[in-house]
Amino acid sequence: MPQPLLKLDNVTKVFLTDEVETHALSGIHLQIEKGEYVAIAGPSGCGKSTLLSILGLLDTPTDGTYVLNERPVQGLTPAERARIRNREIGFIFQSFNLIGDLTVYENVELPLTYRGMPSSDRKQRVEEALEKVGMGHRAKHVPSQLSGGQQQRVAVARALAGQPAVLLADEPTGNLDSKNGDAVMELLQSLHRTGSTILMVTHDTRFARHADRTVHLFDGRVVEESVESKE
Amino acid sequence: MLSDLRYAFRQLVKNPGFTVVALLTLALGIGVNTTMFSVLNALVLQASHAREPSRMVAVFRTSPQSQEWPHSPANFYDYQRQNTSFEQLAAFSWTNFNLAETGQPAERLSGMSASGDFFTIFGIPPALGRVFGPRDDEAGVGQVAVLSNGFWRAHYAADPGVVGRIVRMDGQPVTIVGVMPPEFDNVTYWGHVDLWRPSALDGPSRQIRNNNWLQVLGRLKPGVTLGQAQSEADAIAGRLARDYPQNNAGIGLRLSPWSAVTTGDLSRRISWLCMGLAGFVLLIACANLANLQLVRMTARIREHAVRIALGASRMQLIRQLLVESVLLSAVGGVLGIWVASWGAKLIGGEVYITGVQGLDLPINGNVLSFTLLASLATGIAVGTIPAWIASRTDVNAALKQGARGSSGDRSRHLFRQALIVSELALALILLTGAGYFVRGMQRAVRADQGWRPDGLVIASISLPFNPSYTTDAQCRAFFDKLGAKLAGLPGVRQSTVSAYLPVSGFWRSSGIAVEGRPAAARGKEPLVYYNSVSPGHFDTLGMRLIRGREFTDADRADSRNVAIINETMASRLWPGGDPLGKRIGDPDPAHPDWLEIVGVVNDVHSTIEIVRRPDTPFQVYRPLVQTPSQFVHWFNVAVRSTVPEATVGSALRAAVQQIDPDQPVYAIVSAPESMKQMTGGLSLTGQILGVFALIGLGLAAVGIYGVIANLVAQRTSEIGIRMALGAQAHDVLWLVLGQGVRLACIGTAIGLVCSWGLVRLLIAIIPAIPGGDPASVAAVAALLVAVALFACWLPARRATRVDPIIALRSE
Repeated sequence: MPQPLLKLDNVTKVFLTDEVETHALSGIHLQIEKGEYVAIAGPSGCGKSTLLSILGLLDTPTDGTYVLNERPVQGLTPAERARIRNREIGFIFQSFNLIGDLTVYENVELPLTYRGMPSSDRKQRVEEALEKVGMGHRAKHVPSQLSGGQQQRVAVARALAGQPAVLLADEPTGNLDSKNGDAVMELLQSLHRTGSTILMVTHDTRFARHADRTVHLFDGRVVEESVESKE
Repeated sequence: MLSDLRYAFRQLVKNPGFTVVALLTLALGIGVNTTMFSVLNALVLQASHAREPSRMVAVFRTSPQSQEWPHSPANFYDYQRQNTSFEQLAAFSWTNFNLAETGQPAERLSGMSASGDFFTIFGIPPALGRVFGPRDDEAGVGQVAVLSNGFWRAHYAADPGVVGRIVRMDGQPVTIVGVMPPEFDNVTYWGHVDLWRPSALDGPSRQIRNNNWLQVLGRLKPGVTLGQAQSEADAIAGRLARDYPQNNAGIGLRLSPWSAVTTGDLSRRISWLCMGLAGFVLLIACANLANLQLVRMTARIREHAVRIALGASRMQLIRQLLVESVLLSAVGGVLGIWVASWGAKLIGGEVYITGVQGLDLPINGNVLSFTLLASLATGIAVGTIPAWIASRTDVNAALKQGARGSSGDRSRHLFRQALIVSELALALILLTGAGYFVRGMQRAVRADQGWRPDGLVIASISLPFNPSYTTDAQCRAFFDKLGAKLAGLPGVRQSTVSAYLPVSGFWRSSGIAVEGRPAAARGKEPLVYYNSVSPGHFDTLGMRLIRGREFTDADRADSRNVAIINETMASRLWPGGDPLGKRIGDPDPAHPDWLEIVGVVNDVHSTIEIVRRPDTPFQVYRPLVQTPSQFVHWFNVAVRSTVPEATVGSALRAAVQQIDPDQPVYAIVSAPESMKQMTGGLSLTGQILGVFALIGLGLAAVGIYGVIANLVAQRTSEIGIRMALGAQAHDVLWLVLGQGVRLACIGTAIGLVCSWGLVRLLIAIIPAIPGGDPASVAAVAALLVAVALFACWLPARRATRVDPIIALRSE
């Protein structure tokens, strides 16, 4: 029986600040299959970003288990987590988070550089990724020369270039106008159609509808799961 | 790595303000250190050009009074014959030669007389012709000379045809047989030398055992260690003491690596001290840069978070930041070399070694290697901690929209404060060191030295050992004529001729016996410095006659031998008694040559005592005419006159020319100027330390300004809230200033404690520096606090002008 790509079992996350205990996540169970497009929705402060940080190995759960690609990852060293992040996970941030001093090409190349990939292979991957998002012609530009929508497409290309097992998108349209937002959603949709696994955090139900399945969070708990009917 | 380098370069170009400040700081820090290393390299570390310099050894005669005495010819030849440790052993001494060429005025040359193996020991071949060897050193043969490269170029315009030329030197024909290469003109070996001539001592001179003037240098046989050679030297010294107890009882031999004696101990210690303090300047620069880097890290926190999110390992992130830091320090190093080339020229021009002003301080391979290492170390030191802190960025916090920092802010802030405290402490140490040194030197120079240099013009004359000045009578005749001429010089009120003057100190010492007292053990006799002076000497120098009488014209060569002693000698050897009428003499009971004490004068302290502790406080003066001429062939003239120094000099030259046209008068200078030259090295050290202190203070001021300005920027919203709640400008001013005051006080307190250690070190290195100068320490501490407060006041004043509305809106 095939194992899910991502599996969280009874994951909790507690923050301790000045003797105040905040339960950001409580008993989260979540499975995401390969090729699935899942949206995580919920109001502000419900734990969406914390969940995404744990899924992206940027943070560790206080309790529970997390299996990524059939491998438990909750107890890994920082170096191992960095390596998995680099190879298995592609991030798309709300505020793009491109590095302003690097060109478009160099931004997309960056995760491959950390992988120690030879230059010729990197070039091929970067060019493919940029073509895929329609930004090949802006490779030599720096982020400040691009519109918000273009910057987010470059961020998507950066996430794609490493051919990760899963794309984690944190409010990818949050900093875009509706036209550019729609374009980015369309881009994610097309990636999904070509087999990419996508997990997107959004508070906008309109965009959540693009996903196969939506997981609703409230006060750090999964309160509902809905499956979109595709006609 | 290449992409890291490319990115680092782009970062530097993109932030010109940071880059310029950082490069200036690095250029100063690395430049100062490279400059000082070039001094250290030239004076202390420079590899000798000699063949296998590690086998070269200096040999000193030792006694309870001194560890660095020269040797007598007879002892040298005995040691040369008896030892089995040395391949060659040579003796040499500094001397002056008078060169008189047809149609040219007589010229005094600085030179060395050396025994036959002298050049063989160095193994440096001549640039032209040949060197002299043992055959040239035989009595009656040695009418040859080898020129130094500098003299050959200056005097003969580098004419290769000079070899074989016969010149008149000290009234004798001398053949120039060779010219040495430039590397042999090493002032750290022997100061300025124009030429070398064989000693060519005759038989009787080789038997002299009661007069020591020869320096000894040897080359150890391969495989012989210094320890083995020392053991053998001890045995030979024992034999010499047994065989010739009158001259050698209590006398030892001390071997020292040649490299350790080429630079004076004081110069060596001062060079290391300056190098160490230059290191402080670099440390302050590093602290400043680390602070700047931390500010940049804060600004780039999101970039680091993104890199970590994309899978950069901690090491990859640290590497990238270190590449930036090392690239910056490498460029700073290049600029530092430029600063050093300028600094080395400046300092080299002021260095004064063994009578020579100016030392070539090349920026050679050694210096460049040091700069490279210093730059790399600086880059790593400056970059490591900020990079480490950056690698610990809280990614989640940093990636949040509008995040300003992360949980590392507090530790970052504490680290920055610690850096500033260190900077201030280091700056205070530098300031205290410089202040104490300069004030100490001023106090030492201005202290009563027992004579009055103002208005005194001094000069030197060196009579050659040729047939014209072989006998005591010939020399006395010259002194008589000179005395008469001096008295007749226009504007001259007083004058004296003496073997030594207080400027350069006394250089002839000997043990004495006191008539009627039991003889002291050999080598344990009271040691005295001898000076031979003409009548009117004490009056001319402004000394005080305490008891008895001065020398007069009645003290002739054939009259009773008399002496005048100094106050300390009188009080120590005749405590509570009267030394007048008592007699002192040579410890050799067979030839005591008693001198009757006819007067007591005040002690004089020579300028050189500031840098070199005298072997004895006892001073004995003899009439010039009663002194064997061998001790006064080289002598000084001092004139107190109402006319300018240049006029006195010309008149003096003309007077001596009338007595003997072959005799040049040299080193004509006012006594204060001569004192200034003697302490030139120390003045230069004071200036160097002063520059270090100013740079350190400036960097520390910039550092504390940066930290406080950054604090103000970070607390703008808080300040806005405070002002909205009714805080007055002075409340805000004090809020900001208080932080600076706290840092300044902590830095000053730590600096004061550490300064005490530096002051102790300075006093240990230069004993003449008087201890206990709380005023200078308090002054520099106050200066540091004042500068720090001013640096804090600028951003504090800006904080008082914060518009609460704008500040709160930005929040």
